[in-house]
Amino acid sequence: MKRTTRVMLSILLILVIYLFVFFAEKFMDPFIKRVLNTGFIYVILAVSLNLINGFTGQFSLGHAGFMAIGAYTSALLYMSPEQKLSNFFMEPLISPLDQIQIPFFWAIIVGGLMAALAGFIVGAPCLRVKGDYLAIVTYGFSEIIRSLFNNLQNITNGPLGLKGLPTHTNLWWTVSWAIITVIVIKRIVDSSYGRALKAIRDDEIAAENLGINLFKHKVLAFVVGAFFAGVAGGLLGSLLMTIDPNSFSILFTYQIITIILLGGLGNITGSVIVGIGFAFLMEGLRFVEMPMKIFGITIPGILGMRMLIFSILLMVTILFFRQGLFGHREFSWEGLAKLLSKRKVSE
Amino acid sequence: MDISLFMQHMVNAISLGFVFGLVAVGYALVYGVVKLVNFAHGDVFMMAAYFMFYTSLIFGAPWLSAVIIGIVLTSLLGVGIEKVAYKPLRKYPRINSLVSSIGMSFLLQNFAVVVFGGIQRSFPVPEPMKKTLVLGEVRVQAVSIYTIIFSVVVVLILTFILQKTKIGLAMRILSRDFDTARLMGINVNRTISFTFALGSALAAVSAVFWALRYPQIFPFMGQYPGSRAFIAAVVGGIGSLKGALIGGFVLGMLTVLLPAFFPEYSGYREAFIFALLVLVLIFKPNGLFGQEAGEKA
Amino acid sequence: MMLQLVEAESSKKPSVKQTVLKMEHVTKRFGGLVAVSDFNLDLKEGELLGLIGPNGAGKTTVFNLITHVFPVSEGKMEFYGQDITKLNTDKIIRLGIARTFQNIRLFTNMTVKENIMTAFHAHLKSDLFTSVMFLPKYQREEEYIQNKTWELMKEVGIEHLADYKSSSLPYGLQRKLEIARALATNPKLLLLDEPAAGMNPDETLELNQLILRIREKYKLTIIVIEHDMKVIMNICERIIVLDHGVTIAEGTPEEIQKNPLVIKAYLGAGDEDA
Repeated sequence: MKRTTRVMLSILLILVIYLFVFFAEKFMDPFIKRVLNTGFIYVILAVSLNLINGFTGQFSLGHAGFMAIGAYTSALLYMSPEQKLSNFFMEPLISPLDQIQIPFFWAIIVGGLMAALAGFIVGAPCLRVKGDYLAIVTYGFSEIIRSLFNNLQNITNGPLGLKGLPTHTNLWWTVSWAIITVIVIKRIVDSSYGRALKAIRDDEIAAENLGINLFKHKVLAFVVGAFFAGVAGGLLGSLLMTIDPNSFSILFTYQIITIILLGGLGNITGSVIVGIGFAFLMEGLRFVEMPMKIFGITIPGILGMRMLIFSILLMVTILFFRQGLFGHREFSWEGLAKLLSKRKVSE
Repeated sequence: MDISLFMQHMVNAISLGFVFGLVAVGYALVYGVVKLVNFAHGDVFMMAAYFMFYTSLIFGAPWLSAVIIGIVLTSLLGVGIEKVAYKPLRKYPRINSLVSSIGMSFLLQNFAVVVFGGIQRSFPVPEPMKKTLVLGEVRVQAVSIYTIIFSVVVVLILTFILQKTKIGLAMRILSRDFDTARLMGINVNRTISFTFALGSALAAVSAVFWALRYPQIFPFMGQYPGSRAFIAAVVGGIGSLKGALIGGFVLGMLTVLLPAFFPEYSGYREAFIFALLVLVLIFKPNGLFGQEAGEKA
Repeated sequence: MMLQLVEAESSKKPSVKQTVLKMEHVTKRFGGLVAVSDFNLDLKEGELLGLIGPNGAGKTTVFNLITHVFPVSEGKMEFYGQDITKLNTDKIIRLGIARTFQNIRLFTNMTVKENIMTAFHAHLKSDLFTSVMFLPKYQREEEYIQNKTWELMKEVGIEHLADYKSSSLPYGLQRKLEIARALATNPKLLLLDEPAAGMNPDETLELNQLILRIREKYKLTIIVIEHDMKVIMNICERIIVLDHGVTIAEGTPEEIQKNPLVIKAYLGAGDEDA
């Protein structure tokens, strides 16, 4: 299939998606919209984490930290001075943050850039630190952020968090950013840089002995991954209308890890499908935590059952589906064409 | 600060140091033998506390018996976890085992929430432990003294096991060279199971001392001491037991003394400790006492 | 016996060849163990040098020192006059030194084609933005990479296996793939670590021809570590013999074969390939 054909088909797909978004925004049930928004944010998080963990083989547990940075940075930028005043009643927000207000789009971008900067700071030492230890360092980083944000009362409002965030997030934003994330990261992965990253994953020493600069490329993966995590954080903040340091803990990172493992490490298609699916599954499973009436008998809901089911799901994936549900199979227009022509032949 | 307050802080710091140290040694023990960072260790610690709690509560067992039963149950849990979550992945790249230990940690926490409930429970504290000893001007918690004494005993027992028993020898050989050990006829599976049993038992013992100080137990209680011990083991050099103990010690000291001497910055304690971890790893990737393990080309 | 002389490329005097690699008093210690002791080398352009010795003699260590897998304990190394003693591995490769590995280090999750294509990244001129946006400059480079990859695959004879996973290739072909991949970094000096290991006599003959062919075609200087004397004795012009890290002999194949020290060093290992 020629490249131009593929590009045209992809553009067509994007247009169809936007058409769907148009109608969804107008007519869809707000509850389902919220779940969809969450799903697309999960897609951004999963694909960006997959770049670091799946494609470059760097085991990072720091994604929640990058999210937190993005969420707080953007919130502090798109909130109005009045909203900030009402939040920072214990200790006033430092200047000039207390007066600044910029449009949502730019706030998200700056949030992403701050997270990217953090990605650089975390990525730089990661060269010296191998495999398991990297997981620990990045976990440590995530906790440092959480601790810092809990204490910097005059910047983040400490453990109180920020409430009453204006809702800018809607399907237009989340879908667009999800599409951008997928396109950018797919382009990286399919390019020569992607080959370098995968080489680092497969065999660092061999990669180095082919002239690949390990430091530069690992940092690259971290910075790009962190940027999109920051964007996702910013979008999530405006969706939930409230953020606090403790919601961006290692437990959130575990959820994203669950998604990329289920979808397949190094599998973008898997991250997209499982990302959206995860959001629905999370909501769908709420019923196990509610009391249910079966045959007139009320069975009390069990709190925490949702997460227990997910933990079991994660363990099952790790033990029996090491390649994830999709393994290495990615969506491609050629693959789809082949599938359709096979169907035609058998008819 | 007067001398009595200082002494109090020191005793506190030392006893907490031992608690972290013991948990850290548990981590280091497992890592040394199977080269696996057992993220679930802190949650095994948590399960130990619950085992003892329920044994004492439901079966009305006297405190010491509950503790011993708890230790045994925890060891069995550790062995079980190894068989289910780590052994099947032994032949695959390390990242699978790492992820599995994270998943196990997640599972144990959520299991505890569902089965034990999210509300805090009170760990039983026997009368002798509730006392406060007064020596002149200095007031010391009995718990701290007991912790220090028994921790030393545990360390001695552990040293004995490692240095003087056959299985201890097997563990030490396995930690040096996995493949050669198998060729020398060492029963690898049994040794690994024993290592996990021992490591989990250490976690259980630390859980006792922890719960005596902080009797409120809840499903996520393993996160904090677990992550502390983690840092301690890594800073000390994750294959080195001596390093882990010293690391845990230093960390315990810092945890108590930092807010004591610098109360204005107590909120940043976490950030400081994690920053310490990151710095040590950057400049000494194998920890302070760890060995260089270079890769051959 | 096939020996070909490579013409000198120095513009000054047609008969004086440039020094490609100079190693002076290079020593490597691992704690108390001396892996390589006082190793010296003056390698001229176009030479085909053999590095032999019993197992554990330090041969691969020499390669690891040249490409800075670990630093030297003592000594100095120069590549075309430039001091490379303290440079990082990737920088050294980009200067024009390539190597293969004793244990084969292919990217097992990639296809044959991808393995070779990856090696072109070292000299990629497009930055990330250009690559991601698929600008014309990057398109041209990608096309160049595709074409050169085919050329290299044909050179070693594996082009029919282009889309196969590299780990599925038979051993002998994996070694050839590694050579093709090394060539993709556009080297001037090629270090081959036991390229004939696991090959039968026919394959070994093919390998000899391949090595001589690529030396001629790509204007290479080559060092070969080998145990298989069918390779060493037939294509190397000069041989250095190591034993326990010490250089015990240096000379032409005829001289080495007759050298009593060499024979003694090998008798213990029971080498039957000579």
